[in-house]
Amino acid sequence: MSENSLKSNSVVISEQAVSSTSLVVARNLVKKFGQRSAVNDVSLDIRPGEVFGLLGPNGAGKSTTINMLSTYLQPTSGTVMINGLDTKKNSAQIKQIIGVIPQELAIYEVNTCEENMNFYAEIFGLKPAARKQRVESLLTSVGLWDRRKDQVKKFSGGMKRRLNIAVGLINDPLFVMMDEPTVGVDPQSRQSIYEIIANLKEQGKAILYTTQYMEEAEQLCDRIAIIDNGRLIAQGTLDELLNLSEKRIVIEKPRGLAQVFLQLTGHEFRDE
Amino acid sequence: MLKVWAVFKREMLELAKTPLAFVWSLALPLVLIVLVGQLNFGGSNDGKFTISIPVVVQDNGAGTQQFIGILKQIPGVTLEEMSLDEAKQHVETKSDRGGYILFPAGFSQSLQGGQQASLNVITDTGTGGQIIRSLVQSVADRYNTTQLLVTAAAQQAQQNNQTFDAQAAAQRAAALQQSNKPPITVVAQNAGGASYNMFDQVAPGYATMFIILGLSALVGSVMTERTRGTMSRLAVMPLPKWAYMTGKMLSQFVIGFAQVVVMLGIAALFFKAHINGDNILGIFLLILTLSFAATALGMLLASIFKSEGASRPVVTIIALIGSLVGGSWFPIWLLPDWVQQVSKVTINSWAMQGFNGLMIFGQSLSTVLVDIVALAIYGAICLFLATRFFRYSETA
Repeated sequence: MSENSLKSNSVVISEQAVSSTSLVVARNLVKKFGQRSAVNDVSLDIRPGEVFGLLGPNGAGKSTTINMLSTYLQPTSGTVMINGLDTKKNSAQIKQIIGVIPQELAIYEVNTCEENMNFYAEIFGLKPAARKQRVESLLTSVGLWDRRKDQVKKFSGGMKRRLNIAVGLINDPLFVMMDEPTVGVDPQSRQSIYEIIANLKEQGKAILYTTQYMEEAEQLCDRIAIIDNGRLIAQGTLDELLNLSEKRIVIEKPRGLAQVFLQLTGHEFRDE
Repeated sequence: MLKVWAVFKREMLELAKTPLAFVWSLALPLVLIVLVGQLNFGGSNDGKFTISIPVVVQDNGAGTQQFIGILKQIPGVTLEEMSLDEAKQHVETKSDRGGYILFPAGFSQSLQGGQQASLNVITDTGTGGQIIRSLVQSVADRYNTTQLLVTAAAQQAQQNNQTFDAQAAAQRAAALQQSNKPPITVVAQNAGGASYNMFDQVAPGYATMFIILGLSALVGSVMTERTRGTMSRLAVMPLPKWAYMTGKMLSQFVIGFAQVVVMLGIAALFFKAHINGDNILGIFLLILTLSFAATALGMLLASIFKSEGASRPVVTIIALIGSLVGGSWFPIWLLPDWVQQVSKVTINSWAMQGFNGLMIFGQSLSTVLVDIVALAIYGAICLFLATRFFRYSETA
């Protein structure tokens, strides 16, 4: 198992070291709120066409990491480069090429499905013809085209989640960040979301995916990072994590990713 | 009953966890009571009602004397006969009287002849003026009975050394009453020359109050976006802060503007509020700048407060106290001098000064331009501060 060449304190680092083809390059990210470090020296790379999973218990620093990558928060220190653009200096340009699908359902329930899509499309400056085509394409792909004239407040939870995803893809982003997109979703909608992710991957998007469902991470992610207390404690492909062995810690032979996760992060409740 | 108790107990527990809201609900009424108690609307210090009314008598007939006699019988009322110039000076220049009564020549003759008689009441728009109008009208209303009319006719006939025909006088009085015309009409005029209409105060006053109350809609809308998560989403999209704020403000501006236009329009169309070709441009500019100032203030509050719960009591205080001291509920010139000075921090004060000037005192656009400009500056300052304080992210 290769040692960490990224100057992080991760226990295991993927054999895929710094790649010049990475769309997203984060180095030594730190975010402090007062005296508390929510994220402490996190480094990661995400390539086009890759689904990168970010796992961690509650309060581990997943959302803070996403917020820094999306320009919502400025890092206390460290750098984020997306498609060669620095988030500190080129945030306006970066916002044009990223898509964020938040855990909260950030959609307007009083408006219709189509009105939501049109609104966000206008924010990105899509012209009417392009907007119409894009909205139709996305709503069809998430199975909501027939319900486009309905108010969102009448939708089921699964439908709202799918719309939430469609909104996050309205600008055909290069880099997509999905924060627990299947929370509270019915199995059919969940399967639909998996298919959407597979399509995005085929299109060459770089995808950052956070989840607390280990089976999802096992199924979807090409590489996985485990974060706890603001630090990356393991990073690699599924096989690498399952075969985890390192001098500093003793890890029982894991039966699955869930066991790896629990052994690395412990069994205590994280109620933050 | 146990279930009722469970619900009640939970509500009280929630209230106990928000002591500030409880304090506001007690403090606000207390502040209003203290403020209103300070206003002293022309009442005398010893608690007794007294008023001294100048009277201009251009008719020395019995009818005039009868009317004046009835007025003098009202407790607290003192009449002071003087010339027209002296009366005008008291009301318009010295402002130490609320108004004066003018009995025009021919008043008594009209009463004797069974025709409609009219007298004039010229007042300012303060409480004193309102009281004088009310007193005179109440006496005039008494002439709706035959007795006073006949008595007035008899006295006039005696004065003129004429024979008095009581039966004929009674018939004339009855005929006048049957015609549904009041025997005595009171022509009310304000001291500036235009006739006074209550809606000239009420319509702009309440329109101003409601546009301020509408701040809560703007603040609530921004807060809802924060809690719903749509603001966080917009923060990572190419939507500059200024574009978001402008779009939000524009929608509230349009609503507020329409609100005031409708209220004043209805007041003018149906209640004869004084909006006409002479003052409509000034009124339009006032509505424009009032809407801008109110919207900007709303965006400033939305930028400062992080939750709707925290902002609600402040918006309520601004709306209620601003309306109280700013002239929305009653004319600003009734208020003590120190309150009128303090009220300058309110949007209501500048707006009502302008509306009152145009609609009640017949002032020109150039005179109320200072109020229009003040509102524009008020809005600009609020907008500037809002852009400094507004953040998409609470933690950025």
